[in-house]
Formats: sequence, structure tokens, C-alpha cells
Amino acid sequence: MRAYLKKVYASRLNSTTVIDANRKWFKVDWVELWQFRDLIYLFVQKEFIARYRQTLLGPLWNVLQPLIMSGVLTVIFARLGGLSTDGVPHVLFYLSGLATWGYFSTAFVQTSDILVSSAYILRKVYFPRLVMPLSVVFSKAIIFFIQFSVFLALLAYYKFFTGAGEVIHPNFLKIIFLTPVCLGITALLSLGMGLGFAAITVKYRDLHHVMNFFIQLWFYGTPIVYPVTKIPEKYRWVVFLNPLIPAIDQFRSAFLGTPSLDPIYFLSAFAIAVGTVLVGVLLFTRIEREFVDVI
Amino acid sequence: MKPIIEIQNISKKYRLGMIGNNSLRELLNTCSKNVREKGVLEFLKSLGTDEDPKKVLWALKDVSFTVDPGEIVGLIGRNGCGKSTLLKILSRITFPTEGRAVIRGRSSALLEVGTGFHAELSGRENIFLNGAILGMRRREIEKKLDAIVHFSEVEKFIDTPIKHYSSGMYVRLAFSVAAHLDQPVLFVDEVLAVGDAKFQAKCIEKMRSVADSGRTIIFVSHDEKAIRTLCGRCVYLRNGKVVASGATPEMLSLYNAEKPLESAA
Repeated sequence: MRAYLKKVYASRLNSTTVIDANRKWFKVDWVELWQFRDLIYLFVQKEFIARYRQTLLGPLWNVLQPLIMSGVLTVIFARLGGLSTDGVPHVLFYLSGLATWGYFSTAFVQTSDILVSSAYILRKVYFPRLVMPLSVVFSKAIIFFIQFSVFLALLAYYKFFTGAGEVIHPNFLKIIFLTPVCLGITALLSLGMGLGFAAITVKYRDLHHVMNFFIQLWFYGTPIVYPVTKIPEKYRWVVFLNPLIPAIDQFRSAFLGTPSLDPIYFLSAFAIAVGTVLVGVLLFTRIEREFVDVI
Repeated sequence: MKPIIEIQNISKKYRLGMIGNNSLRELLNTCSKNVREKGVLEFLKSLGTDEDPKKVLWALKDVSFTVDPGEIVGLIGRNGCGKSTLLKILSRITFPTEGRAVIRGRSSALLEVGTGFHAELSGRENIFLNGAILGMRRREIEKKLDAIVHFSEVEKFIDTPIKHYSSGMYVRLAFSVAAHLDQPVLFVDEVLAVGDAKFQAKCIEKMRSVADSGRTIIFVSHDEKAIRTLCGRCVYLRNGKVVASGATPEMLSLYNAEKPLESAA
């Protein structure tokens, strides 16, 4: 495999580039993308350095933000609103949803604007355009893992040092086999949606204005502040429309042992996420051809 | 020997007026205007057919030429003759509407220096980012880091965020990264000399040594002196078409001879 890649790579170094009207529908040069992996790494690095230079707390903000948010949610929804958290400590319940949600929403929002916001680079130099959305999804994944570690630390604390330990039942089989898929669904969905929105935003900036409120609606349409069990049987079909529901649901049930939905929802969520990426890449590679002339 | 760059009948069409359809309202306005002017039937017919020829601009039309390995070819012509569009097509920033080009080897484009520089990053970090954007691998940049830093004369500030750089330091660093690219094919647009007079001389010197190293370069500039010293051959474009191509002195005198005529017209 390695030898093969080396051969492909060597042949590409002195390769022939053919430039034409490129009217193919689905054209992704994976080898070229692989050659630009260093650029993905450097974009991720830039994202972090640029964001945290000249801040006192630096990346610690990634820890504080969901914690503060969980606190706010606890006061509003659990204490005032009396919304159940399936008997699990509120902070753990909210954090488990917020980490996944935060990953999805930040990656989606940033990717959806990527062609317009980096037009000044894209007008001046060529590199595989997919490098930019991919670097967004990777850098947000790093932030997810930071928040995830905080969640794990809190989980350990509640499990072993408080009375709530009795109601938390991590399921190790699920953790090992299902949580990577949950993360995969989230990443693919944000990438696919982001690519599609990025492609459309190039021509119609309207989407850019819709984003904010769209994201907010999606937040409440996802079981972050309420348990999945609160969705009435009658409206269960909604779960098929929003792949984040099964993703967060399984994630929660793996770590906290809360009741989860039928696995069929999880499978369909995965299928939808994969489909979204395919459609997203399709739209994105279509617009790639002309967006410099449109922006 | 096969030519390293083959440009075959490249054309590029821009649709004027259609470009700005950024909102639904504009789209509706254009449609309703068309309906009022032409009537509903005519408008519906015009949707299926080709656009109004008045609204189409051919920035390039049937441009063909070839470049042999090691040649430095200048593109000359007035503003708007299609030089930059051609360079953008060759560097794959935009696509041709018709025709094709074949480039036999790795290529990179220098349409401006310092593309992707980020103010918060240090000089060193920006060298890596900019180098990678221009198609270099991290390993390659590491090897050249010392040479790049040395050439740019900003050694002392290399770990300072570039937002604290003077504009001179900024362009020197940006040019240095560009000057140390090692792709065998380069497309260069007007980024030849930056900084103060002393550094500009250094830039020209560097470009000449790049040119002498056997690389193939297509070069766009309005600076006749630079064209004369660097390019062995020129392609003269006018209104998106190739007028003539040949030895630099002849092409330049042809270009200069036609200049007053055009401005009178």
C-alpha cells in the first residue's frame, strides 16, 4: 500500500496538468488532496494560533464555554423549567449534548461561509478547495476532544465521588463501538451541510442571513436540553430528519446509561450523514469551477 | 522535445450583468425588466436560448501558443487584453469556457506576494503557511527556511507577529517565500520587485537567477525594462486574442507602435 502510494506520488510530482472546461459532475482529485495534507495541518494550526494569541486564557475558553453554558441551562431548563434530564446529574447531561452540538454547529457555520470569507485567498492561488472545509472540520474536532476530556473528568468525579454514581451506568461496549460512529455522523453531517451551504452562499448570500436562526431552531430541535424520551411517540419520525438526534442519544446512552432509541434510527442517521457529504461535495465541486468569477 | 506548456484554443466568456445576482430581488428585477422590454413571450423564449450578445464578454478568444522547457515568456498588452485572465486560467484559479491547456510538470502561480499571510501569526509561521498555500511541502519549507529568512532581512523579528511589521518588512518576507519556490513552472504577475530601491534590485537579481536555473516562466508585467531583461520571447495580446508572438524586442516595438493608435480610437 505504502509502496503504491509512493509510486503514485512520484509520478504525480512531474505530472501533467490538463486544464479544460471541466464539465464533469463529480470530480475530486484525492491524490492531489493528499499531497496538500500539510496545508490542512497548517490551516488548523493557524486557526488555533490566531484565535488564542492575545487572550489570557487561550484554549481554556473551550473548557469554560460549555461549562458556563451548562450552568445556564441547568438554571433555566432544569431548575426553572423543570425539564427532566433522565435522572442524570444536570451538568453531565447537558455537557454530553453540548460537546457534540458545539462541534456540529461551529464546523457547519464556519464551513458554510468558507468560500466567501476566504475569497481573497482563493482568487489569488490554486490549491484543492476542499482543503479549507476539511481543515475547519479537523480544527473543530480538536476542540471537541478538549471538551470531551472535560466531560470524562466530570463523569469520573460524579461516578466515583458523589452519590449520583449509582444512576450513571457507562456501557463500555457502546463506548468503544458506537461513540466513534456518533462522532463520524456529526463530522460528516457538518462537512456535508457546510459544503452545500458554502456552494449556494456563493450565488445567493441570503443563506448567510438565514444561518443564525436556522442554527437556533436546530438547537431546540435536537435533544440537548431535554431527553430523547420526551419526544412523543407520535412525532418520532422527526428523528429520521435530524441525524444529530440519534448521534447525541447514543453518545449519552453509552456514557451515562440513559435509555436510547431504536438502533434503526442510528443506522438511518449514518446513512443520511454519508449522503449529505456526497451531495455537499457534489455541489461544492460544481461551484468550484465558476465561483471565482461570481464572488 | 515536447513543449512544457501547450495552450490550445483557450476562450473565456464572462456574462456581464448576470454576475451580480446576489439576491432574489435583483433576480426578479432583471426578469421583470426583461419582461417589460421584450414582452412575456419573447422573454420566455430568450431564457432557453443563448444570452444577449451585448451582455457577453469574451475575455479570451481562441488563444493558442506553446512554451518550451526553460523558456521565459512575457505576456504583453494593454489593460484588459486578457493577460491576467490567461494567467489565472493557467494557474487553475478559474476555468476556461472552451479549449484546453496542458502543463507538463508541477507549477505554481505568483499573482501577488503574501497570499494568506495572517496578521496574528509570526513571520516564521507565515512562511510555512504561505509556502504550503503555494504548493510546497512542510519538509521543503524547513530546508529553505534559513535562506528565506536571510533573504528577507527580517531575522530579528522572525518570531514576532507580522501585524507589528513595517510594510517594507512585510513585502520583503512575502517576496522571499515566493522567490524560493522550486516548481519547474511558474506563472508570475507583476510581483517582480517590492520594497525599497535596494531590495528591488535584489529582487530583480533573484528573479534573474531563478530564470537562469532552467525553469519555465510565463510572466506578465507592464514594466518594459523587466520584460526586456528577463524574457526571451513575448506573446502580444489584444482584446483577448493573440496578435503576434516572437522575439522580445520586436514584440515590444510592435506593442509600442500600436499604443497611440488605440488610445486615439
